[in-house]
Amino acid sequence: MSIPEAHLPQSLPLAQVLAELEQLFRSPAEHAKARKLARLFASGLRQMSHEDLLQEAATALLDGRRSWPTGFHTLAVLKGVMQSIAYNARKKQKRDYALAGDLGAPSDEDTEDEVSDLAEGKSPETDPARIAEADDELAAARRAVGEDPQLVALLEAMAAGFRGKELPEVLDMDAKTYDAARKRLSRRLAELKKDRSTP
Amino acid sequence: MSNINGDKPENERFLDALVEELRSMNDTEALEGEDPEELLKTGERILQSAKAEAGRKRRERAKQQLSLVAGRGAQAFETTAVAKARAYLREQSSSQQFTLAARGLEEMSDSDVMVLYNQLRTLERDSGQAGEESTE
Repeated sequence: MSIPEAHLPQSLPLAQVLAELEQLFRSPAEHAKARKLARLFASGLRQMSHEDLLQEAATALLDGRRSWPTGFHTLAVLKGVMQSIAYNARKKQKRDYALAGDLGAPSDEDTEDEVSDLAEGKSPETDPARIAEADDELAAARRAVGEDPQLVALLEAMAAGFRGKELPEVLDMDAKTYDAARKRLSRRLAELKKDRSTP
Repeated sequence: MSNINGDKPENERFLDALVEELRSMNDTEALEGEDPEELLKTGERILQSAKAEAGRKRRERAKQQLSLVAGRGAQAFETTAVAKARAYLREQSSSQQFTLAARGLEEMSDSDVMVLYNQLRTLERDSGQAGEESTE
């Protein structure tokens, strides 16, 4: 059965995609929000910084490999594109680790860390730190918040599907406590990739 | 915690909620720990690099498509030429001008058809020239 044309998702034309991206990157606050998201996706990626990820996402949208569905907010679109790029990069990373483990020797793309791990006899497949790095974004966020009980609860509520104003309600937090928790979460997520993104 | 939206994996639900949190964040909160001037510079650099790279990729794709179309054109030309050659041979086989083993024409490969067609055309030209010479 064919889908009626009116129900097919429409994509923004290239000129409008460019205008949306210009608006994002020329607004420090909007750019900062996109970076927070990018840091989360890039955490655990050893070959790609959050800036690389943002640039790759913008390129994919501008060269037509990825479409921008009409009516979607910039951050929602970037989320989808960056998630897909990061997923593929993680898959490649896992393959490279497995290959390096099978061969018992580092590949050309191995970083100095990987080389030293292999020299110490750590297998990428069995090293918990390496496996953890290749987890999804929620796992990365869980590691970032550590054992802070309010942030753990906040993450779990988000993962359960609660949004916006529902969150302080379900967590039984007053506005001030919730605001502080939100800021703490934002800071923890911002720290995720800092050590690797700066040369 | 109860699952209020069971149709999506929890990672997706978390990311959707995070996007919503970021969208509702005010500028002061978003810029905490960031240098706005530096963000402007980095943003412009990312934008210009993405534009240049996207342009390069689009041009590459256009070139590939062009060579594909050219390839298809050549293939189409070849198919038409073989079809015309077969039709011509079929026509000639029914005439009495040449003795042609037309029974096997449909089973012949395209390359054999083209060889036979070229031979026949050469023969036609030669016999035409010979005819002209003898009348002179």
